[in-house]
Amino acid sequence: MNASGSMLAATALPMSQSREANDADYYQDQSFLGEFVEMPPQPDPISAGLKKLFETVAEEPIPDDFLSLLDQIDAERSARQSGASPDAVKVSAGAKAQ
Amino acid sequence: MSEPEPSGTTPAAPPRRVERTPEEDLKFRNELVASIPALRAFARGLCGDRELADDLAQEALAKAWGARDSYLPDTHFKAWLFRILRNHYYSQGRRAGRMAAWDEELAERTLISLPGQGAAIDLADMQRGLATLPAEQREALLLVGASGLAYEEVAAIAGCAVGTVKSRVARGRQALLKFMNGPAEARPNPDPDKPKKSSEMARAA
Repeated sequence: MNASGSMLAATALPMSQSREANDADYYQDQSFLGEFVEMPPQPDPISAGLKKLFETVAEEPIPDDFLSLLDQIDAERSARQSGASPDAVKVSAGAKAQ
Repeated sequence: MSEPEPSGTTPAAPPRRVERTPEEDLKFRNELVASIPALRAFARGLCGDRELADDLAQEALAKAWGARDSYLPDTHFKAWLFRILRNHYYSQGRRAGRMAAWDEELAERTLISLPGQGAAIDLADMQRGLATLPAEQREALLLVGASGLAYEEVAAIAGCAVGTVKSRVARGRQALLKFMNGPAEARPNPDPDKPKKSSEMARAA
């Protein structure tokens, strides 16, 4: 409780105490700090794990299936560019070589 | 007055071109290529199984190519592509959003340690945990936590409100933490045919 904590610090100390003693007491009790001192950034295990999971897959070499799909796309592009009917080449997934 | 209307409703405006120029096609194609790694990773996280995920990713790529005229240039390409993939995934009722939970290859290189932290994360364990989540939480965690998209972009991909994304992420994260911190025996083994292995072995070591 930061509010009541500082209230305590302000009221519980007798007036007779020196300023130095006040400060010493005040700074010794740091139990309240947890409430509002920002903790250093902790690596969050869930985020780190998810990122790692994602990166691990993303760094894999791209399988050949994907490249043949791109070949189809490129064939469709050049067919269109050369004026042939674009329907001559149709890109479809799953036209994998068995 | 024989002059045409000066502004706005000019009837002479050319109809929206349907077919794209070869240059536009090439640019689009190159964006597709550049997105393949991320698309594969998203698909893998979504359905867990390598082969299924790659099928899914290829189908999404083919669909995206076919639908390229509906892509608005200069909008977030990856988000547009992810949306196609996840819609395809759900529309297929791909095992009703269920996940295979076990990726052999990934399980082999399973323990990662975080820099500056004593704890190590067991990736295979995390995958199994992901598999126990409802698909929409898994999706939100993957898109926000792993692929690093903004909440707004994820909301557009998932077709829901930003607040919904946030709460899915929060709930998914909690469930995942609980799963990973919980005792291994208490967990449902999503695929009973396959033995539990690397994580248990790593713990024993």
